[in-house]
Amino acid sequence: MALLAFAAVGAGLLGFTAHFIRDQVEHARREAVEQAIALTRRLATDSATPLATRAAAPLEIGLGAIMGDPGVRAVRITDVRGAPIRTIPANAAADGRSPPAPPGDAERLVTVGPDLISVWEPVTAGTLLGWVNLDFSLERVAAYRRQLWTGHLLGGFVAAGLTSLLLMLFLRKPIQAIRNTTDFVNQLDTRRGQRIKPVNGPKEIEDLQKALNYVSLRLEIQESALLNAAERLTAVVDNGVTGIVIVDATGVVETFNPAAEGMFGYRAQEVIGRNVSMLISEPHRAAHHGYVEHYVRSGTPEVMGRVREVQARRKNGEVFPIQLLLSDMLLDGEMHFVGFIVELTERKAAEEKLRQSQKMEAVGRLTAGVAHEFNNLLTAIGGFARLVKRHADDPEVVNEWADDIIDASDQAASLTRELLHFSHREPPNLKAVSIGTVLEKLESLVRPTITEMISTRFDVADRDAVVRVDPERLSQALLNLVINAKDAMPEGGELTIASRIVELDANDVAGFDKARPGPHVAISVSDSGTGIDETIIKDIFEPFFTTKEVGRGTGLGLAMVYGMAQQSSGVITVESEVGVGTTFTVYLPHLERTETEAAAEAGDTAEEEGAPTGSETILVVEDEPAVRNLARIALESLGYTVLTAHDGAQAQELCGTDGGSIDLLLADLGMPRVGGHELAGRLAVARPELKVIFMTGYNEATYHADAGEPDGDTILLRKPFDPNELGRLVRSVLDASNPA
Amino acid sequence: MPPETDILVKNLNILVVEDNPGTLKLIQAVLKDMGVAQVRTAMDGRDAQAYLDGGAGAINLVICDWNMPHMSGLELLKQVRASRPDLPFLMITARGTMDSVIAAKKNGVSAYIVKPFAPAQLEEKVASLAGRAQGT
Repeated sequence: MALLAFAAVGAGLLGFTAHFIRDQVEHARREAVEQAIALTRRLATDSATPLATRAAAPLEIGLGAIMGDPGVRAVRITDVRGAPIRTIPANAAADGRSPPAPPGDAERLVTVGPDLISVWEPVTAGTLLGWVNLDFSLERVAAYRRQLWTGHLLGGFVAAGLTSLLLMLFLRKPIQAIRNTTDFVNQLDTRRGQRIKPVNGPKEIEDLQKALNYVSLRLEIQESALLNAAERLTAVVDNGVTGIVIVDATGVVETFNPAAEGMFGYRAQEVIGRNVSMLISEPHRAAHHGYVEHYVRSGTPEVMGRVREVQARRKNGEVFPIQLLLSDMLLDGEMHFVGFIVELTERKAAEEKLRQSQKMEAVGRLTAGVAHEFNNLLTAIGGFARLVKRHADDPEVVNEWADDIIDASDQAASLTRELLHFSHREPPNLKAVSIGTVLEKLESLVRPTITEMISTRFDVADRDAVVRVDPERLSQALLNLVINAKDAMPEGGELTIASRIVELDANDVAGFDKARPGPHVAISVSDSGTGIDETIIKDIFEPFFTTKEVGRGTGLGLAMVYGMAQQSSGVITVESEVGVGTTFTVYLPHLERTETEAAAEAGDTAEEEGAPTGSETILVVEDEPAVRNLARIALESLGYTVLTAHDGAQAQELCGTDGGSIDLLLADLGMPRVGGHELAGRLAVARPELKVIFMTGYNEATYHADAGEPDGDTILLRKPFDPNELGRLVRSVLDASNPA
Repeated sequence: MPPETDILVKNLNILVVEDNPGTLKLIQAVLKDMGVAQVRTAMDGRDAQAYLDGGAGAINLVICDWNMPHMSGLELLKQVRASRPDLPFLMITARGTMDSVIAAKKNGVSAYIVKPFAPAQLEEKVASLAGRAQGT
């Protein structure tokens, strides 16, 4: 700095001095020229006479006087042509140079060279007599210039030095302050929060330092806030129970928190830098990668911010369920993903346990309900049977009580069918029936069970409208709805059962797989009872859901109604308002009544009357004595000859001795050792024309699974069956076997 | 049945409370067979209570099912005991557990039949309660 100041001052002084000296030297040169001219002219004047007179002495006087001047180097007096007459000093003539020529005209000529001034002055006295030529040295001017330079430069440098010194004295403190400030700024990274000590000096520097102190303070506060935030986040990440894994756009793990370490069994350093796919189990691995890749490529947030259940993999290879929430973040323009992970192993186990206990509870509830129902039915069956026995001689009461026994056993059969239906073992028995027939039957079932406090109204429009349903299930479903309606009106009220034809559109059938838009028969059961709370209305069709106390209901009632509607390609709806009442409506597809169906229905009704008789021989093979005896008695009462066997082996023995007389084999499929199917096969070897009816307690699907593929001619009789049904089937099979 | 019991039975005025139509009908048939002239029926506990509260003082035996809608047999038993501590009360139930027997006994049940039951069991219980019924 000092050097710079010194140089600047020096350069300024030098410029000024050079200009001044050039002026002075020019002036001195002009004086020298004038002096040389004056000397020459005087000599020319003095030389006129001697030249005219050719007297040498006066010349010498003039020359001698002029040579006394220190600037004069040489003097020549020449003739008019320039030939020297006299030269002083003499060596100037003998220095080998040819003497300079005088000017052409008789006028003065001055030439100024770098070292020398040359003056030609004519000598005249009316006419040109000759020339005086003077060489005047500029040595004095050069000396003067040297003297000037020497004197001024020295002074200049001294002045510059002094000035610099002064500048340095004045600027030292501010420069130091600036230097300190610069150092402070350079070290601000490590010295944030510290303060620079302001110096007394120029206000600008002081202001700068104050501003820097403020910046330093602000930096410290901001950085401390950032550090706090970062520490807080680190604490959350490190101490949280949620596993946190951060990966870059290619899936390389960057952060793996202790909770994640605990879950996966890896140390963070084993995972960081490797691909996150090592933590995911197939098949989620490929899918997960696909999701993220797709997101990075398209920006479509398919998995972002959405909680998914994924199978993860521990270090030991164990696969376990997790809940994964992915979110994205942009750091320095690079995409990163944060995965929040909650292990579901325990929750899943608890859920499974809960499901199991719910299942057990449901089974318990169902068992209690079914046991209660069966106990009532068994009480009636056993009780009436005993009364029948006691009053065997009174045909009137015997007949009535026998009907009661039949009713109770029918109900028991229907209950077992319902149970089988829920275990998906019983297919529906779909038939075309008129709605009037169904509702008449319902009315006869409903009337006796309704108390006096409830007024019942049947409002049946379109009585002849035909639907295709399992009539027994429809009756049972409607009865279930009526029982619920009755239970909803403990204080009494109005029960309305109505039917009408309505048109359902696509919206109406939405949610019911088999239902299609079109005309439907709507059968509704309405009560003015307590209504169903909004919170449970969605559950009411669920199997085993019941609001009734244990033993009061199986929880199958409404589920059965729902299943019936589904099976019949129908729809079921419920409208309810607490305190006002509830209406359940079953919509069944309305069939165009065809002649065939009308005839079929008429035929069915006619056949209900009884069963055709016969005189053929029938072999009944059944391991269950009650069923075997029922079949025997029913067939004997119709006129048949009946042989019985309790298993396949005994049946084969009978056929061996009396085989020729057997016209039909009625065999149970599910017997121990030799089943019905196998027995029929063995007998067919000797009697290929033998007709066979199989009895089964299960549906055909079960039969296929248990006993192999039946051939196309197989005829099945489902248990329980009534004697008339057996009689009709036996007759039709025998008739088919004896073509006329 | 001894002749004196026969007379006592004939004089019974019984309220049968049972929601299952088949069982109700069987009980009615058995009672009719025993010669009981007066049998009233109710389909649940509330109906029965309404009937008893309505000045049905002539009832001298209650045969009641345990499991019924709205008001159970046990509830009805408690209500009956509050107003008529001596009225013979025969409980019919599918619950043959010790707990339910204790609960019924604690609340003053006179006799107890478990479903399914044979007519003879019912006849026996009714006959044994007939003597007590005359005192009420």
